Amino acid sequence: MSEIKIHLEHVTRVEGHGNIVFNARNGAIEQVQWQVSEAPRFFESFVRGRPYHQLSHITSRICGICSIGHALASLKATEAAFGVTISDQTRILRRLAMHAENLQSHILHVGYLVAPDLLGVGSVFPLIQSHPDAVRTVVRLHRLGNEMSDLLCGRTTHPIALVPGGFSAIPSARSLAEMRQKLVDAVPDAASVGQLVLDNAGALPDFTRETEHIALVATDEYAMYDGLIGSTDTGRHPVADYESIVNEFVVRYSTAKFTQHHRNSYMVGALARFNLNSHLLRPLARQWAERFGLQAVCHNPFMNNVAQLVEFLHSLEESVLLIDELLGKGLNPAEAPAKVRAKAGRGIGAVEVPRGLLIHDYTYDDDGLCAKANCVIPTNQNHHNINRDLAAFAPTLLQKPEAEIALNLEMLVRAYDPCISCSTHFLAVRFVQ
Amino acid sequence: MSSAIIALGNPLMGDDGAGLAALEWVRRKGPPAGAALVDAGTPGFGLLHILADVDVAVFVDAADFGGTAGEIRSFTPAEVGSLRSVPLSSHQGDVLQIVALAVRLGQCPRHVAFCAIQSARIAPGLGLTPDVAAGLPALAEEVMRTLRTMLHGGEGS
Repeated sequence: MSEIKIHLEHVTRVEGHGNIVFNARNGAIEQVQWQVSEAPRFFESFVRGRPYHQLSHITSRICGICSIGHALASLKATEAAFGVTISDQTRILRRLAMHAENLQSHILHVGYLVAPDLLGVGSVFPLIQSHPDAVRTVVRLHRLGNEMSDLLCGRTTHPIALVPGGFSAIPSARSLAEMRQKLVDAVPDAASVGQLVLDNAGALPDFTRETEHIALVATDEYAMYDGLIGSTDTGRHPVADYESIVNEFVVRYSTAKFTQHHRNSYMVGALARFNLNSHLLRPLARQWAERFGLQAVCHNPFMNNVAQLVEFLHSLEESVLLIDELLGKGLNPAEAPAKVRAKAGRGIGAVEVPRGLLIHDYTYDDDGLCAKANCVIPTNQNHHNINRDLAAFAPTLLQKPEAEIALNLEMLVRAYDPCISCSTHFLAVRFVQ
Repeated sequence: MSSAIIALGNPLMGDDGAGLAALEWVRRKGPPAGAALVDAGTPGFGLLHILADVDVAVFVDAADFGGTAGEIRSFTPAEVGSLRSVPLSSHQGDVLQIVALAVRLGQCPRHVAFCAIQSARIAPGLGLTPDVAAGLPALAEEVMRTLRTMLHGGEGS
């Protein structure tokens, strides 16, 4: 009798502490499970009773990587509840902020955390010896994303300039023009990272499992800030119907909520966005998608990392165009936020953060105090799909050595980019055979 | 030479907020001219960008080096590495690895030092324990002394 037991503890650390359990006996899988052991954080409870202007700052703390997206989903929900209309300039600046977050998050994941898997090493450290220029390039690109976030939001993480109705401080035309040049200059760097990944894309497992993909969709742009909720299975749905899309539920082995829609599970994130919006990618991004052979609808979850790379190029191109639009129209650096008058009501804000669809739903009382809140996080929406993928992927690994099984299971979880520390290589691995 | 005092820690974890509190003391006392004061919190790879910009960096943090609560120690990254079997602080692994990464990339300050205060309680909760709070003025002095020494004498890593 042969028995393989693998318990990968703490694959995740920040947004989700998680373990992978893999048990096989006599060539048959007995259990394979993605277990989320994250401590409940109660954000939805402790914003109750708080005034509306505090909510974006509090909820941006849900994530240290997607804090801009959380702030914007929060502001959109608050503004929807109070009937606030933002200016065109605010909308463009916010879209730029979304792209800044996409840039810094995607290069962090692909450059620091996925590249070691592709190049067969345990962390970014050995890459400094083998690929020093590539690591320096990743550092430069990551810094660019952080600088852009800082410029638009007042600081790199946990934005301070994003407020109800607009911005408390608007970057100068000169600083935006300088950022535009940096974005243009970054294209060769981005292409070199793309080439490195392309040269080693053979390390991405050839695994396909059909599933539903869900992301925001729009008619005129690759949706990040606005749109309807799109599904590869069921078409387009109003954001107001989100509860009937996400259908949150709990399971015994996880402290995080799970979700499901048309099938048993669904996927959100860069690959889902690509699958639903690829025709709206900017030209360079589209070229790179073609080089990788990435075509909608792709059901290989490992290609999520390629989709992130494609989106990185799209965010570079789109950001340049958005700055051109802002400066072309004449930036008003003194524009005050739109007036906000609190009233009782409910508002829903949906955006696409690097890891996928994010929804904030608030109900306010007459004084603008939060009476109820619901936040639907991308990582939570992917948990169930990760489990389904693991169940389908694990049987294909049984003939491999244990170390390779463990690596492949980790790579699958990392492909979803559940959060920065979720994808680190600090893992305690115990085998019992 | 450009320089930075980089505070590490999480004020929601009791004494782990000592580095940030010490930074406020440094601010009040008046740091050496031109020194950037950075509240880095619990940093990740973004710390590389801070390190790339300066010639001298002094980290200030709570630590567990087996001393008595409130005791202050200064050391270089190499010395910290030699104590790795003992948890130095809640950021030990990450920060040291980022510094090591910066060194290997050739993007590390010429001089790096850590000034640390022995913690008594690192657990969820606001506020410092009395011994650690009482040590803040001395910690701030030690940070500025270390920075001045490195700027003028070239100690550190």
